[in-house]
Amino acid sequence: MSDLIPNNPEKDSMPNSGNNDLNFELITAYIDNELDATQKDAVKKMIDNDSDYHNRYIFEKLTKENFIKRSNRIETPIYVYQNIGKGIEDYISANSGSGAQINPSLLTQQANLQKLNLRRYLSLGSVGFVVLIVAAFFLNNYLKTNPEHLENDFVSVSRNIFDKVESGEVKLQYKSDVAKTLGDSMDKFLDFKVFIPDVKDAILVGGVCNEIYGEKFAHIIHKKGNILIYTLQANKSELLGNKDKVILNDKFKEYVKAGKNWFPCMKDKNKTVVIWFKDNIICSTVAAMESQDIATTLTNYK
Amino acid sequence: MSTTTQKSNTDIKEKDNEAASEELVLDNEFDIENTEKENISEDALKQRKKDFDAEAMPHMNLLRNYAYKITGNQLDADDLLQETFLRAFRFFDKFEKGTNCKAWLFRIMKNLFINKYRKNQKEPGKVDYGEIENFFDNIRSEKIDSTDLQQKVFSNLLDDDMTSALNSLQDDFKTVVILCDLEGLSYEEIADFVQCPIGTVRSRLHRGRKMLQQKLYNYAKTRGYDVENNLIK
Repeated sequence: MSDLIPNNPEKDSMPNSGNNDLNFELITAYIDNELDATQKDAVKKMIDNDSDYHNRYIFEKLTKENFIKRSNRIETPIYVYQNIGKGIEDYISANSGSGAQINPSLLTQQANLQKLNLRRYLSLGSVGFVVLIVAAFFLNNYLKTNPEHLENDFVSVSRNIFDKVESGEVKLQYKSDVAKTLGDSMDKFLDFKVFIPDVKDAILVGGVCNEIYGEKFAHIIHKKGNILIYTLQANKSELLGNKDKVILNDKFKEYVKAGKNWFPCMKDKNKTVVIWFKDNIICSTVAAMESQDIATTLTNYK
Repeated sequence: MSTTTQKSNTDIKEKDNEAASEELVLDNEFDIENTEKENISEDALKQRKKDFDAEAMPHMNLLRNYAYKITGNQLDADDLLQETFLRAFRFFDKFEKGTNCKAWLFRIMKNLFINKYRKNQKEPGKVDYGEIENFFDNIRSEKIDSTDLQQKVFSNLLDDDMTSALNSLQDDFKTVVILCDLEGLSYEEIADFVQCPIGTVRSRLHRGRKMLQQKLYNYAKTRGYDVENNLIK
């Protein structure tokens, strides 16, 4: 049997590397279909005739099969592809042209063109300025009637942070997949007791605590396959009472005061925001899912 | 060109690639955070991106799964993957076309992991291999029934047990188990990835699986399953 075994340079450095161990390695190669026909026959005979060989073969084969069967393969999330693509584009734009030689005559032509265009730019600039003033006026009116688009609006804040989490800009302060451990760590920073939602079929990734406009917030991140589920959490009574800091839209305030515990907000580019509350915390959950699917996955928000 | 010459040229290219992938991580000059501009034209960079998209990007899923298995969590896996690809792009001109791009990327990732991420994690301690051999010497002499073993040991284990067992292996063993069992690579490919002879791959795989078997047996025993009567002499 041993003449079937090729030289193994690492053997000498390994402890207890007796000849038997080398023989048993053939079982490994047999399982992985890495033997030639002659070796295969020889090993098969050993497995059939020797119970020690047989048992080792069965045990190792089952180990491999179970590992394959029970190992979760994960697809690369889209945001990782996007981040890599963006990183490469940034690198190209930061480095491109550094080695290129510019023809001096082209520079003169460029200067002439710039002069000719100057007047045109000035007249276009005046028109643009007027358009800008008008647009600002309408935007101001629009924001007054649609406060969820204000920068300090609870929904807008959650949308913006979701984008940052998705693009990898936000680094986790607390990494834990155990709700209690994460909750205990976050509670030390917050002035309210954080509630870690139970998200069906998703894993808890971790959280971040911070202050926005002087108010404390908890950010909790789950992943369901490739889908990121982000929850912004605040002290309910404080958020309802706020007139500056981070605010909640008057319409949504009414819903919460009336006890309406779950309402989707405007859908934006495939991501949905839903507001919900529990005890004295209020949450805005953002995910690239339909609002009903978010309701199904958050199993203990009520 | 004869086959031998072709092979030897390929070997030289592979060696160059190995050296390049090492220096990408080990030499500060190649630090990705180094903002020094590359002296290269826009066209050349665009061509590099085109080649990179064709050669490197298709291996992203394999690399991510490997990253996930070695780091043990998705966030670190994503960071490691991103850093590997950005670094690989930056130094893609050092990659010899026609050689194994997957192995080149893998080596960048492995070296990055060892140099950057491993520092923050404790590598599993060395295992007394003699103890593992004793365990196998004590397996009962009559033939074990495959279905019985599946029911008595494996079906009682949790997926987490599998993960913990895998994470308990030292990096060298864990790598070959992941690449062979979970990624389905051949011994030759693995040898190319980890830069060691095929015999060493087989030996590490054999030992790695043995360590896993003993771990899984112990988990089943801890969970109160009567594995001893079914398996041990």
